[in-house]
Amino acid sequence: MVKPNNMKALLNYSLLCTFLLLSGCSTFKSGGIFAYEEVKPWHKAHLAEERMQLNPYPLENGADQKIFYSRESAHGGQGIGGGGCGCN
Amino acid sequence: MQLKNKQLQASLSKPTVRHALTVATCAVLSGSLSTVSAVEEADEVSDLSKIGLSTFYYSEEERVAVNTTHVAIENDLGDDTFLRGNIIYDTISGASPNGRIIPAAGDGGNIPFTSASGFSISINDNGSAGKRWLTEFTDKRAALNLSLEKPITRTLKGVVEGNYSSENDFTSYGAAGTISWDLNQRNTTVTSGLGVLKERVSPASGTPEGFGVSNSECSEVPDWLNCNVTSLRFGHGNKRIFDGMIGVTQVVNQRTITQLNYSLGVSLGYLTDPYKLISVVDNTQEGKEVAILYEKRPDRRTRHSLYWKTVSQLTAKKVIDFSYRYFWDDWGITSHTIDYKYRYDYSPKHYLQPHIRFNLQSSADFFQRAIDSSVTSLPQYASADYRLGKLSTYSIGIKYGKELGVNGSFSVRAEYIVQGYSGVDLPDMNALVYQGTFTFKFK
Repeated sequence: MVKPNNMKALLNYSLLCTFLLLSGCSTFKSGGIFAYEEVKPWHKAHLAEERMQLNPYPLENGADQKIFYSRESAHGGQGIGGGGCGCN
Repeated sequence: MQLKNKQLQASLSKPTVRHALTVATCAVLSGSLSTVSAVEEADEVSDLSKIGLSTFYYSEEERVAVNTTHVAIENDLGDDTFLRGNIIYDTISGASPNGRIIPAAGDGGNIPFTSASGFSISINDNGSAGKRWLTEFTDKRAALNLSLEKPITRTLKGVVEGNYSSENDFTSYGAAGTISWDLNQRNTTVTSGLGVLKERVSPASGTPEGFGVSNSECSEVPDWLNCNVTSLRFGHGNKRIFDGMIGVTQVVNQRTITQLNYSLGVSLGYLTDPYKLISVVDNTQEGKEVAILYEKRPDRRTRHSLYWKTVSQLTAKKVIDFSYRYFWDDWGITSHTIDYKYRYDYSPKHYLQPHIRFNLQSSADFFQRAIDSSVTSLPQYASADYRLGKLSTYSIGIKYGKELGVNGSFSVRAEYIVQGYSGVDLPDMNALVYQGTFTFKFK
């Protein structure tokens, strides 16, 4: 059984890596992944890929939303809609 | 796959390419099931419908287990109009913490209680019905969702949807509408939506009066508690939930898209959980439980959330998906949630996706583990539901995905979740999640 403290350490390490990525350490461009550029419609080949969508795996996302809705007080944020649950 | 410059120059003026680009751009900004895998495939797949099948198993250690089957269908009606349907069926069984304190070893007691599934059971420390701080239950849930997405003008798109779900003791009806407005060559999308839900909880024996006495066998009770009168029972508990959101989605560059949403929700009506209890304890007797009451929550809750999400393709093989949500409400709860996925396509048709998530939540103002019998009167509201307490949830998982030809895909994933509590004598919750998903596009 994994203790919460061990999980926390692992997640903290992962989050540090994430922030390094987001802050641009993974690329050589100034601004990292947030380096702004004008994008014309014919530049959107990468953005059109399924894996680049904001909700690329709706069936899995829906399952996660339900799990955490029933085990935490906070919910929502991604959008509007979806049914209720009397989850215990 | 990428759009080659030669292809672009040769065929830019062709309607099929313009249509393909339109579809691809819409797909980028919609975040919907109707996405395409590449621009040059957009025309080819734009007339395809899609079916998704998912089986899902969630199991908490010594607590609740849920089996879910989910079928999602998307019918492409042409002209960027989509009709979508989702059918979900859950079977739920196990035991959930009911709010009572965990007794010291040997401090037994046989107390009648009505479980969530409506069956009267006797909860005893050593009995077959399980520990008395847990309530065993079984339930089934069926849910149906229908939505229609349709362009209104060249830059406006609307989505309307209806929802229905039913359990043994719970019913929910809902409707929602969303409008998206594309700006800035479709690089910016402003989205606004409204939703309403009507929910009804119907315990087999009726909803209990807040702070009503759950058991008639209590003893050594304070003056303000009359154990001779168990809780009054009322009919259904009804509530209405209104949600609104406004958000902006921005294409940052050719490989990054980001989204910021603000959501506001108001819940009105019977927000108390009719199955949750709170112990009255006598601290002069080492916290002995002397009575059990039903919990009582306010009949209004206002929720807010700020949600930020970014998806970025670092290289052709690596995509990160990062989100952060800050949530707060007028019950005093605040919450920080971070979710991070890293997809690695180690070959053209196979990928692995590690996932981590964590949530830190503060407690509601009226959350308390138990009521001290020495108080002179009851508080206005009180709940010992651990979900309203201070908690942290960590999850880590891995997913494997495979493309099946041009029109199909398959994935399996496993997640491990651990939830720890502060100021509550509950053991950590450990859960495992398994999910298999298959999607197929067809004419």
